[in-house]
Formats: sequence, C-alpha cells, structure tokens
Amino acid sequence: MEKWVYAFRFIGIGWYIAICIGGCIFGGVLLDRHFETSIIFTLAGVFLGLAVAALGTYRMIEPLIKEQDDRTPGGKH
Amino acid sequence: MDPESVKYLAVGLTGSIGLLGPALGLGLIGYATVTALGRNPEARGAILTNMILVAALTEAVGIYALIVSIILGMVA
Amino acid sequence: MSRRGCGLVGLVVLILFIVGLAGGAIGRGMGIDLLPQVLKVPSLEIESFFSGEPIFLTDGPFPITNTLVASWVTMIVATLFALAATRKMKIIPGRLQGLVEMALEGLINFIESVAGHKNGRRFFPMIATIFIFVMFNAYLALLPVYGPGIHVTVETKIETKDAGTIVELLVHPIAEEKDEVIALIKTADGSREEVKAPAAGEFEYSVSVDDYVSEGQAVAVMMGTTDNGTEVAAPVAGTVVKLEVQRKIEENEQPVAKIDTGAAEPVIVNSPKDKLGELEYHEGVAVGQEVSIDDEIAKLTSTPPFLRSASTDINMTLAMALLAVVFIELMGLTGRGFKHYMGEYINVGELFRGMRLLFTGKIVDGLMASVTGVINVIIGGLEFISHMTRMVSFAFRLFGNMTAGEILVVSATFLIPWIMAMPFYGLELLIGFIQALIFGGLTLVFASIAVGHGSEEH
Repeated sequence: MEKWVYAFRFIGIGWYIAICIGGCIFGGVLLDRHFETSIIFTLAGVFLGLAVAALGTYRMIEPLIKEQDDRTPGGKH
Repeated sequence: MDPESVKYLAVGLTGSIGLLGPALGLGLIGYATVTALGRNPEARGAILTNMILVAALTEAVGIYALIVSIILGMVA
Repeated sequence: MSRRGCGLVGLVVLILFIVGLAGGAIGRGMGIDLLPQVLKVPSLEIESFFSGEPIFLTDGPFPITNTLVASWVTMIVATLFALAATRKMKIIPGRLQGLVEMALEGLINFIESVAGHKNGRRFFPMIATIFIFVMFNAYLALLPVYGPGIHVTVETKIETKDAGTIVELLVHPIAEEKDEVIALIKTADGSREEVKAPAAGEFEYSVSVDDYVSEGQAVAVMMGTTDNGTEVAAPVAGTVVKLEVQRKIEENEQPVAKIDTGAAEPVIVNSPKDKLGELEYHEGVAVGQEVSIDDEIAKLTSTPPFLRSASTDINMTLAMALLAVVFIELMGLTGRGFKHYMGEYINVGELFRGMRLLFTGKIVDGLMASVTGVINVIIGGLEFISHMTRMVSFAFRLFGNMTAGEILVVSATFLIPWIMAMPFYGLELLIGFIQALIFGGLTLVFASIAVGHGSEEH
C-alpha cells in the first residue's frame, strides 16, 4: 500500500473534534441544569472537550510527525 | 423584525458566513498543493499527506458552523 | 454540428431563458405574469428535512417512506441492469457487457492498488456494492419521476387532546394569487357569480355556505400584511353556494384551534409535526361548539412525492455508515486476530505491570508504569471514539451532499424554470460519482488500515 493512503484516515477528523467538544459541552449543560449551577460544568465541559479533541488529534497525527522528522535532512535518523 | 425572522436570519448567517472561511481555506490549500506538486513532483506522497491533514482540520471549522446553525434552527 | 445548427440551438435556449425568467419566480416578483397556470412551476417544499415522508402504513409502527421505496427501486434497477449485462455473455463483449466489464475492471484495479491483491479481493464485494448503490441512488434521483412528480395523497386526522369549548379557529384560507376565486354566489335569477380575492394572502370568511348576502356585503376579510382588513364585497345579492379556497398548513406544528377548558389560558391544538398540506375543518366545527377529548376537528391532506432520492434520508445514510463501520471493524478483527484487535481499545497491560511492581515494593517504577497505564487506557477510549465518529462523518457527508444537491436543483428550477437547472444537473452527475467514490474509497482505506496497521507498525 502506498504511504500517503494512510493520510486518508484524517478525513473524518473534523467530525471527531466537533463531536468531542460538542458532546462535552452538551453534557456540561445537562449537568448544570441538573444541579442548578450556572456555568461551572459547561466551562468544565468546554475544557474537557478541548483536551480530549487535542489529545485524540495528536494521537492520530503522531506517526505522521515522526515520519516527517525522520525524512528531513536535519532530523534524527 | 419579529423573533422568528431573526432566528432564521441567524441560522442562515451562521451557515453562510461560517462556511465562507473554510471554503476560502480549502481553495487556498488546493492552490498551494497544485503549486507544490508542479514544483516538486517527486514529493507527491508527503505533499498529499499534508494536504489531506490540513483539509481535514479546515473541515472541522466548517463543521462548527454547521452544528451551531443546526442547533440554532432546531432549538432557538 | 454546423454553424447554423449551433445558432438555432442557441436561439432556442435564449428564448427559453427569457420566457423562464419572465414566467418564473423572478418575473412574478417583478409583476410580470404572462404564463398560463398549466406551465407555471409551483414553489416546491421539502416537507421533512432529515427523513422521507411516510406514504404507506402511515399510522403503523413501521411506516414505509418514499425514500425507502426509492431505495427498493434502486435495488431493482441495479439488479436488472446486472442481469441484462450478463444474460448472453460472449468472449468478445457487446456494448453493455463491455461497459460493465470496463467499470468493474476499473473498480477492482482501484481497490487492489489501495489494499493489495489479497485484501483487495476480500474487500471487493462490499466496496463495489457500496459504490454501485450510492451511484445508482444519485443518478436515478435525477430522473423527473423523483421528487415532486408522482403524487400520493395522505390524510391525517387532527384530534383534540382536551375537552372544552372552541374559542377560535386559527387557520385561515389562503388565496395564492390575485383574482383567485374564493366563493360562488347564486343570484335570484339562477346565475352564478364569482367572488375574487383582491390580492394574494390569508383571509377569513365572514359568511358560510347557504348564507344570504346583499350586494356589497363583505364575504371575506383579508388578513395579509399588505391588505390587512380589506373587505371583499359581494358583487351581487344572492345565496353563497360554495366557499372555494382551501386552508393551508405551511409550518410545522401550526396552531389550528383554541379551546377553552376552563383553565386560565385557552389550550391550543396544533397540526402534527412534519406534515404540511391543505386543512379542512370537520363538518360542523365552529366557534362556540363543545368538544370532548379526542374529537376529530380537522383533516389534513398532504401530497408527498412518491419517490425521493434515498440518500436524502438520514436513516438510510446512517444505516449504510453503520454497515461500513461494522465491515471495517470485522475486517480488523479477522485480519489481525482477537488479541491485537482488542488491545487497541482496552490497553491494560501497562497498568497491570505497574500494579504488580507496586505490590512487589518498587514504588517509583510502579507509580510511573501505573500512570502510563492509565494514559494508555484513556487513549484506548479515544481510539474507540474516533472509530465511532467515522460513522457520523460518513452518514452526514453523504446526506449533506445529496440533500444540498436536491435543494439546489429545486430552487434553480423555481427561480428560472427549464434553463437554469441544466448546469446543476451536470454538476449533480459529477457529485453523485464523487460521493460514491468517497464513500466506497474511505471504507476501503479504513478497512485496509485496520487490517494492515498491526503488521506494519508492530
């Protein structure tokens, strides 16, 4: 299989990020409503969602970064 | 203006303005990719990989706008 | 084509364009109205956005929607096509057989170039099925019988939920254009006179059938924004024999009637969700009448199209995406073995090692290994989420592209009839092929990554 075919797994990455953040915010809003707090859980949801999305995205593009580090002349071999 | 029409206006503007950016971005990505391929055809694999990655991240921005406008249309 | 032929075609297109411009929605907006009623393109509505409209067994637990019928049609057409192409197979293929052979050869070459020979042959049936199904769906949906061509009438009853007295009937008749006939009056000498609406818009009848009106008496009051309160006068004296105009439901859950139940606020009866159409109040329903629970007060008649492109139903695309994701996971499972496959999601090896080290007294090493183990478990969860979001992205990509295409063609046809839609049909041909390629190709790429991932990286 050609190497760049692997890159096609990133095509759904937008939905992954959006669903992580949106889902966490939705959960935060529900918790806020349930405990009748104003915004704490929503804010927590925003940060949790951002963290999950960033971590997952980094996980996905990690092999790519490594590969390109190896390929550049100044990089480690 | 009554609230109902403002709601539809908000939905439409969120969708249209929000998707303008990703559209321009995708165009720029395509332009840059084709230019890069023309200059350096041997690096096809690396260029395509990076193109798909950046295009997917650009798509994410568009999906925010889409989700916000769907939520506005359904909930508000 | 000769120069003269080109000029002739150009002239015909130009004439059609000008007539369409003047006769379509743009011309009507500017006040030009020259087309007869038969040739007018009506404004088209997509009644329910996310799914098809039920047309058979509408009240049952499993309504048959027009998108479902369209997918059956696609299956039948694809099967017949395949049968016709393979009926009399020859060594030297004829036209149809040659076309099908060429298409299949291109497809299998594409699949083998991505997944390799062995895996390619295993993936071929599923990927080819997805590709052919999506493409046939998209191409068949361009035929004129799809969308608003063949009509099926569906009647829905609107019932009250509470007992009480009707205070107000909220749905008013609509005159769709100026001078539409809204009532017939029979005069003393037996002739029938028409009452015409002074403008398009909502109005309210102030008389009912069998009432006697004198000349100049108001038959209806316009409710529209421009002619608010204008009375429509009877042109002659006589008896009202017919009230012509139907009432229309144009929004989801539009209020139909107000009922006083004795509580502080009157209860409002709404029309059903996702149903638009013509509303007819039940005979005898009027202001001041007592109703009990579950009385039928009105009937809604709507006409969804008999066929609607199957990919414009989110249920359809979600089902296909589910199938594709299950196929990908199944290929990963069989290709890499149960242990490797589950190890990607539930990665507890490092955590157990850390625990063991902790219990044997190596606190620092154990703590380090435990932290790494917890991170590994979380990463396994992330992997699972990222696999499941593929389903959403598959489903919404196909649904979004197909629905947007349909709406594009519909609104182009509405704005400037006949000519404006033609370039968009060409665009739709391209989009249908590309979406089929993307759906099939992504399934293929994910499946081959799921199979090949382990052997290449570990």
